[in-house]
Amino acid sequence: MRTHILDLNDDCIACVLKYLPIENHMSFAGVCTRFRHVWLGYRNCLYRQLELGESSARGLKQELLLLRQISRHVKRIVINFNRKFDWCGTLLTEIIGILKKLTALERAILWIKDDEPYETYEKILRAFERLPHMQGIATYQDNCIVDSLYHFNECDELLAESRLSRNPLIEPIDRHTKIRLLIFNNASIRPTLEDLVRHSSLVQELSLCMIQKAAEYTALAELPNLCKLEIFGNRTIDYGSLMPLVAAVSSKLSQQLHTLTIHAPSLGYQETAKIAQIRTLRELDCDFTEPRCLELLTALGQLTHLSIKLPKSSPIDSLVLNILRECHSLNVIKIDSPDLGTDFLTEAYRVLQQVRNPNEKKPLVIILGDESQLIDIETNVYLRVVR
Amino acid sequence: MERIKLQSSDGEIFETDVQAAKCSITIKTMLEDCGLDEDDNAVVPLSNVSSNTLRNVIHWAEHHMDDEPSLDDDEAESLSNGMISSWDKEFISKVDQAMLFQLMLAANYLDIKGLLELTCRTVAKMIKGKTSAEIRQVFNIRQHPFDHGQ
Repeated sequence: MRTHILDLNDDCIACVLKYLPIENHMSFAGVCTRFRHVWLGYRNCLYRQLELGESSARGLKQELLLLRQISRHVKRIVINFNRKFDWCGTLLTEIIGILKKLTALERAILWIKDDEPYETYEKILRAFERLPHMQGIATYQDNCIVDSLYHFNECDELLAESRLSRNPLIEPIDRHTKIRLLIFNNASIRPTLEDLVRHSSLVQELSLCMIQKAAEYTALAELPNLCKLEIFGNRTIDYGSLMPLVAAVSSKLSQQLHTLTIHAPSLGYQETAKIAQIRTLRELDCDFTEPRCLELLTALGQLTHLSIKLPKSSPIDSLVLNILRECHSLNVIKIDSPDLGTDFLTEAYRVLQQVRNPNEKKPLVIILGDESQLIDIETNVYLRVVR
Repeated sequence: MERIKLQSSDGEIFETDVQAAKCSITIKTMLEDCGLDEDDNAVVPLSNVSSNTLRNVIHWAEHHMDDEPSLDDDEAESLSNGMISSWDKEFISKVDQAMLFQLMLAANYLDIKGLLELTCRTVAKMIKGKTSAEIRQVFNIRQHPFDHGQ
């Protein structure tokens, strides 16, 4: 006897559904009672995680039809609202009606264009906000440059910021975007970020201010095209160990990251060692906990811009001079430390005379920070060493 | 290279590399649990797989025995990239619908993730973009009177 599709067991039939675009699921369920029963029986595991992709208007209608049937089962959803047809009219009302029924939903990743009208954005956000089990929502647009990753605990705050940024006087910049995260009841930011990075394939530059423990942000290292990362923090927040985040960045981005800024949480020796493995780095701007961290930076031969900040400890002159000796591409070095000796500039001048060819390289710019007052109070803002 | 004998439901015996056979988690577990690993003359009976199907399964497994094992928890990723290698495409294009379903059942029974994925993707491709009526036609499913209106 020839094997027929209805000879398949339920597991196999359900497995086919896993590989079928969801806009086709309702047609599948309508084929026969057997298919329908399988579909009903497996709804719970098939649709825990759902993605509404880039389908046409007809496809979206099919997706909504499906969503209506499975609304109780969805825990994570990704919706791409960046469609090539108008969905803001009656379709939006239908979408909102269905969103309100996603009673099991915990996380939502929403791709909404930055120039979508505020009213549309608000309606969608409000629909999600009222769901009973929500832990996190992220709205974004897959784009090259993420100017900031905003973090909100209240929907109202998010909407206020979002309304402001949609002000007609503020012109959206092409290729630039913002990611907004709304986290409920101090839930962990990590799962929402993990979902988000899976759908942000274009991001090359990202800037963020950390609100939760540093380890919560490790997923950012998974951004496949990231080459510039700026992390800021608030000195009043305890970020825990930076190591998980730094290790993730070092292992995942060591072939591509060219700019790294980490401010507020200072890097310890072990963390600096991880950073020193990212040989592609051209610009580095970090706070360090102790002078010996500087020993490690000499490995970064491609650095053109280096900015270091250190608390008061012991003299760092020779360490900085070593960096000047090893990092031949340096154009600018900024040092913010109270531990530079008074004759540092003279020493630096001598080192540069040995390693730098003035015909090939422009003069190195040395910027001394507010803390570096010992050298010369008159000129502590900006000094230029020539030849 | 270590060899192993597999016996189909209709009694035919096939010999293949142990490593190819171990593409099947079911066989792998059987070998490890029963200590058949050390016994050169052991024959593993596969009472659910016919000789025609088993021949195809072995053919597939011998090509894939050196593949990196895919990570279970990375299912989302494997779903999204959805690439079928050209060898797999060629392999699956040569089997008819009946064999396709037999392979799927065998992959399910033998727990061969890659083959199950290949067969399921192939069936999904046959369904994609079609109405219920068109799907019935493709797979020759007679609509039960009970189904009307669904």
